[in-house]
Amino acid sequence: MIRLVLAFMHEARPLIDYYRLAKAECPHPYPIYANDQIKLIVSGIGKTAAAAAVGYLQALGLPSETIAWLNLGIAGHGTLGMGQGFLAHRVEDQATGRCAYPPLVFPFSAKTSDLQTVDHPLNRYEANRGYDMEASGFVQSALRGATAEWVHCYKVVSDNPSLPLGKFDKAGTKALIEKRLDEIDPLVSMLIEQVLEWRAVNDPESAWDEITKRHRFSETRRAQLRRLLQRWKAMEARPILSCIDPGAYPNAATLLDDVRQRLSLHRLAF
Amino acid sequence: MPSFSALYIESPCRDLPRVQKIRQQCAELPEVACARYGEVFNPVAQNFRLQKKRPALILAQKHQGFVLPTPQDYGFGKENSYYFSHLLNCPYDCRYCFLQGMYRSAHYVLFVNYEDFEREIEETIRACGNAPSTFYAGYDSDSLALESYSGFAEYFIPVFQRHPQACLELRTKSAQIQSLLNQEVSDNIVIAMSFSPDNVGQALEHRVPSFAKRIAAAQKLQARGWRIALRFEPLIYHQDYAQHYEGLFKKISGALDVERLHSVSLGAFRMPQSYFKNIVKRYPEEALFADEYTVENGLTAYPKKIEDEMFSNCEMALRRDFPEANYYRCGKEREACL
Repeated sequence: MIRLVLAFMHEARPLIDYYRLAKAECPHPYPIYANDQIKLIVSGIGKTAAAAAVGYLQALGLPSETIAWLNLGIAGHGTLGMGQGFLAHRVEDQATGRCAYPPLVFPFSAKTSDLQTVDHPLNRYEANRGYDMEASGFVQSALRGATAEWVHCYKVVSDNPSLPLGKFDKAGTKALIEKRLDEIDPLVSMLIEQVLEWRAVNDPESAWDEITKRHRFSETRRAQLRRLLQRWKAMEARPILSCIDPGAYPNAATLLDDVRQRLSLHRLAF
Repeated sequence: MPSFSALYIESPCRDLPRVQKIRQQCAELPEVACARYGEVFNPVAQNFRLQKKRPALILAQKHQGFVLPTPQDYGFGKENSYYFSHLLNCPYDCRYCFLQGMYRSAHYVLFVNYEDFEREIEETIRACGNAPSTFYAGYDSDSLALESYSGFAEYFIPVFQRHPQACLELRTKSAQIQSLLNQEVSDNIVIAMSFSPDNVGQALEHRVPSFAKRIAAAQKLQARGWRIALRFEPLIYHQDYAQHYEGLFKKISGALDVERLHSVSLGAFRMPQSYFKNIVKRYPEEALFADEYTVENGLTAYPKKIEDEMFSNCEMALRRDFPEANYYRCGKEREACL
């Protein structure tokens, strides 16, 4: 339901422990950890690595599945203090100038900020702007399989004008993420909740499997069946399988005709 | 009052006084700069339905096409009919509205360069000479719903007060009428209020103020001398619809002075097929779209037999409560209305 993409193992470790994620058994080109709801991948540094890791997870999943994507990690910031977390409301690729605007439609409580993805570490900070090295690649890649509402970046400030970027500190990085689990966990939980809510409305009707295994449906007829099942669910209080027996029809066409006929007798009531 | 998820501002208009005022009103919101509103509003990978939960407000400048001719058979003006849209998308969430299928994004785009709209409106009025003209302001949104932010009516009513030969229709489901009550009444401004039977409203018109609040607003405006029009559009086909519409007409005619109404109209449910398809994808579980529809001339509508039956029954009921002289049917011919 949610995919977490992080650049470093030191950023990922607190989340692996917190969510009790197990390392994927079959060999993958990236470290992947998972439980029933969360899949976490450690991409390596840079926007290209992040984009490739997202692509890899996309290839492992079902294309029609609704999934939330979250890029987590540390970042520099021109204004926020060390250890503060923020959600990106604008992600700009410094090299191309290309921008993405993750919509803030869910009830996020974290502070939000501009985030610029740079190709090389910087020691220059503009006010009200965060700096990282993965977000733009992550976002552009994730948007190939999800709409923008499901794709977010949350960063914890590791350097700012008062404490500029120094030598990479593994233990310090782990501690920064750990200390922000109070914001990360509600964010992850909320995104999972939203995905479940969305799937409840949009996933195929439960009768789908029962009907499609009884008859051979062409692609066109599958589309017709999908819509008829949606219409049935919208109009009829009774489940379709309590009204029809899919096995009683000689073929898919007669089943579709009968469902259509039954629906045509229905009159909308408020 | 809508609660926005964020405030996006096109960088070139950040310092305009109208924008400054809205920034102050929305000081608690994340403020995000963008070069052009299309960067936020137009991308393909967006989910309208999710955005509709908590849309953002985008402040932008329009650059062309401030005033456009209305489609054939739209509205009450016979000739010289135009529309202009200072706002894209509507804070209300009426399932039957074509706006639910028109744009990829549910964010509101408020065009803040009213002065450019004003200039083109005045040029259009001048081009009509002494002939009357009509301007519709509620085509791509509700005219009054974001008034406390936009100050739209406050700005444009005086513009039309200077041009009595031009009529402005503000179309609304809002009960926010303070800005109208604060202004001098003008005969060439029509406040067109849309109503549906209670059961239809409850099922399909989400976030719309209650009937009681809206009818009270209409009464106040009428008492003040404003010209009120009534819009029963679109007619929604459902069990016992004739009784429900008849009840609605009775309730409204009992609450307002029907002789002083500017106009009363009925309109069919119809929208471009592509918008309808988008809406069905966005709201697959919505019973309204599970009904039978036909497609004719690229428009999705009720089958003609049903549409005719509804008009016949509703027009008959309407005649009992409202003077026939100010009635018109929106999109009378079964042709492109949008």
